[in-house]
Amino acid sequence: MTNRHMMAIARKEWLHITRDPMTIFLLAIGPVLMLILVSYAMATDVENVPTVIYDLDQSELSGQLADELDATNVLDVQGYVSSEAAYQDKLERRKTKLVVIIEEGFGEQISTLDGLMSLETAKPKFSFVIDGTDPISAETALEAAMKTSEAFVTGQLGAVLDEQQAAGMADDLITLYRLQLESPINTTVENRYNPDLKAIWDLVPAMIAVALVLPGMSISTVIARERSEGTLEALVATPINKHAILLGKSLPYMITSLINVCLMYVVARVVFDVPFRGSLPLYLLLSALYAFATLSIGLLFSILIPSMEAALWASMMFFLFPGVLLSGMFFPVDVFPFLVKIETIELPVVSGVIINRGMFLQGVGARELWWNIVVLLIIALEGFEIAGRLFKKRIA
Amino acid sequence: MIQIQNLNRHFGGRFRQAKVSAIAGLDLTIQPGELFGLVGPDGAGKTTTLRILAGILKPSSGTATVNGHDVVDDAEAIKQELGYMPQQFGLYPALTVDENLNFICDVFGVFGNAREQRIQELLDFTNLHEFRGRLGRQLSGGMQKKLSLTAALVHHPKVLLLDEPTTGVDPVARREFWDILTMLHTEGSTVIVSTPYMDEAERCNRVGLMYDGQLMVCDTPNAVKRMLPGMMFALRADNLMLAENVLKTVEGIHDIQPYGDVLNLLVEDESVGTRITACLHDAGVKIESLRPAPPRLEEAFIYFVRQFSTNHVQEVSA
Ligand SMILES: Nc1ncnc2c1ncn2[C@@H]1O[C@H](COP(=O)(O)OP(=O)(O)O)[C@@H](O)[C@H]1O
Ligand SMILES: [Mg+2]
Repeated sequence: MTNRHMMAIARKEWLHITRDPMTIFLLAIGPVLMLILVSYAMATDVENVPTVIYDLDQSELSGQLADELDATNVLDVQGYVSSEAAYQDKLERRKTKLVVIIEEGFGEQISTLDGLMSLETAKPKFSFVIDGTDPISAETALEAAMKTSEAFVTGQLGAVLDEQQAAGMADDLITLYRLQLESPINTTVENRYNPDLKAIWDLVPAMIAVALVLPGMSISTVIARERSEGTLEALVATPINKHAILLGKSLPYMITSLINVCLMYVVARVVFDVPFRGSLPLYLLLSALYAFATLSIGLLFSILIPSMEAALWASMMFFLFPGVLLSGMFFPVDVFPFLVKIETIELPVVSGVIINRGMFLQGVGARELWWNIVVLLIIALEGFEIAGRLFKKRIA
Repeated sequence: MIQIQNLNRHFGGRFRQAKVSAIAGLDLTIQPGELFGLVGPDGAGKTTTLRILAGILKPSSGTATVNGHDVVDDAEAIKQELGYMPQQFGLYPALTVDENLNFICDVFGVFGNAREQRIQELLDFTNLHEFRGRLGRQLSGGMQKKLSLTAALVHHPKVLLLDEPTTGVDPVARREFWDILTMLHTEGSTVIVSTPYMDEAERCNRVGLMYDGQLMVCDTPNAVKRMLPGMMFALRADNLMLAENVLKTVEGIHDIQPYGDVLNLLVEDESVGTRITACLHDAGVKIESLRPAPPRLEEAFIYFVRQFSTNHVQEVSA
């Protein structure tokens, strides 16, 4: 009986979803699209990061290095600074994102082979100071600066080595030097605002959890829609079981959620090369649980909030905002320590982000995630139970 | 059988909203097989009454039962046996006629051949065959009403509650509607229909005149009309406007209603007739005819409303 009623509602809801182009679009590929768009926006197009050079060496070679750095796409060398205070000031005023410090004696160091064989500390030394507020571009810029510097030093020392070889240096000595050339410099990185540069790997799993709230937001308007279209009155006047109404309405959303989980998993692995270190069956199971929890809350909103607009706003505040903050999309969590506190708020999206990051990056399993699993179970079951209790087959 | 005892329902009254009494102290019994008309103007409380009977609105106080099931405690049992057609189009505007009907069949567990047969039968009934593929929102008002009725009939309900099924429907479709209702009535269904139209009320086997949340009178249309004191005259004259103005001052005339080129006059007794003739003659109105006429429900209704209001005013001022 309940089953039949549930299927009746599910079929009807499915027709509704497929009839409205906006809804079908939002549900079928909305989450995947959101994942791709946001991740791409964050991952690519890092160009012309403003860079200044603090040149303590002031040699011809250090000048050449500055030109090489400027020649990259990623970096845009805007000039030299003449003191530490000067670059501090530029960083604080956000005039520059990267400071490359060339230590005194750099030119000399790369003109002879002496430094190459000595201790790590005696190698040509570079320091980078970086503004990590925007982790993705910071990381890209830093990588470009390091690679360019390294290539420059290798090139210079390689030329010196070639000269020495021509001048008759012993072959095994040459081989030894060449080996050393593989890591010719000694770098120190001072990350100003974001010590361990959160990378795209961190963002993508979080975005999967965030994108998966879209069906939950969508379902938060279903009862309001019946009310505003005037169809609720006829519906509640039928002997249909009220839990069947709620389950039937959730079912199509549940299915689209699961399809999206699979699509997003593939996109994360293939498009963004994010590693997956957990167990896939467990991941699918937990994703289903997570989807169920968001749908339960969405349904609850739908029952509590009589207008479609208000329901959408409420679910946006509840689902999207904490998820977006936690994802590091706009503000790196390390930079704004209060954001860490969000992790302690028991919202479905928070557990979703933790589970996704944990399973993708850390390879954790049910044992480590038990608390979040319990939280999601409680939210899912309790949410549905309360929704069922509050949903009356009456109109006022 | 439907029994309503001292039923009350009010709205608002919270958060400083004005408290509106939608129905107040309603008593009504409807026997199986009746075609009962709940008649009254907008805001009389018809919808509220039908919603309570359908088990989708709780009364504020009092009791109501449908086939022995209480509307509060046993609402779901009522819904099994009931066909309810809301005043507003209650089917899905984004679904086609067929999809809407299939949904209702799903809900009531009508499957396979039985479903196809039932849908055919009902579409024959309501002439909606050629619109099966049309979306609910693309149907005209009259077709939407027919579709709602069709949906309410799918499960052969013993009791039908129809809330203003013919409001906003063209005259031809209205006739068809009443043919259907009469047919259902003769088949033995209990039909309760609400309407603001007095002429429709004449087609019911019993009517309840509702006003301001209360039932003023409840009887067969003929009995209701007989309750009218005095009698009716139909007047034809060369200058009806003037006649109406003149007659307003004449004593013993309860009500004047123009109908095309006729004035319907509700008067105390036959003797008023001579007074009318005299007055009109004095005013220079030429009478073409002045004949006793059968009263209609409309006159009865207006009379009862007027009486009800004066009583009410007296009650309040007392
Ligand atoms: N949900 C509601 N909230 C507030 N007032 C209502 C509600 N439903 C009906 N009313 C009021 O109750 C009265 C009776 O309404 P209703 O039963 O719809 O009358 P009818 O169907 O005869 O036009 C009206 O004054 C109406 O404004
Ligand atoms: Mg009404």
